[in-house]
Amino acid sequence: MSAAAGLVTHLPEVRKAAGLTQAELAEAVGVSRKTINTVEKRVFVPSTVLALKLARYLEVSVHDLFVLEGG
Amino acid sequence: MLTAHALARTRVIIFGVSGVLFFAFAFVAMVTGGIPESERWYTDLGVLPGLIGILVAIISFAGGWAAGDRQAGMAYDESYRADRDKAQRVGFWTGVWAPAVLAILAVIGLIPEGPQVYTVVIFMVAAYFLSFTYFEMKGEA
Repeated sequence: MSAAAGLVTHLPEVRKAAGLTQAELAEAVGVSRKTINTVEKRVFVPSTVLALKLARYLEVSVHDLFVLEGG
Repeated sequence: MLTAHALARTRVIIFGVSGVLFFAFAFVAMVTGGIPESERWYTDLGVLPGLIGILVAIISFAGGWAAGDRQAGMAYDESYRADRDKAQRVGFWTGVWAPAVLAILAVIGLIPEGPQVYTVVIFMVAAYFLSFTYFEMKGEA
């Protein structure tokens, strides 16, 4: 079971729609590319602060990026 | 200036190399019953892991300093801390299980009997370095 079991992320779709690479998004929110990669692969659950930073930078709500499995 | 990516890559390399060296030291200590002591500390092979550890710390701190606060913060961010914590758990459980495993190996005659404290400690450090390197590389892929 992955660390992010129970959490569904739409980060890859939202990031690509914004025309950003993982490295560009990582630089913008001040984390490593690995962090973005592991969040997108549901290996790592981001902190609340990072989730909010991602949502703010991508101009979406946190719920547009992360939802609980099964709604 | 070092980027966060270069800093993380450097960390993986030095942790990986150190892990292999520590594992090799632990293995030699295990099969020989401990690193033999010398009359002079600087010719005693047993001090080498400690010197490697200090070198790793110096390179890590120097790299962070050269990269600056923002890039260092990116390289040592929350997924780094999660991997570090997982690697520390691997090191801890290695320390818990290693004495029992070494005792069994000694009883069945595969390794010499005697104090293996050095071996256990170096195996713990090797487990930390190698598991951290594995988690970091897995996250990058």
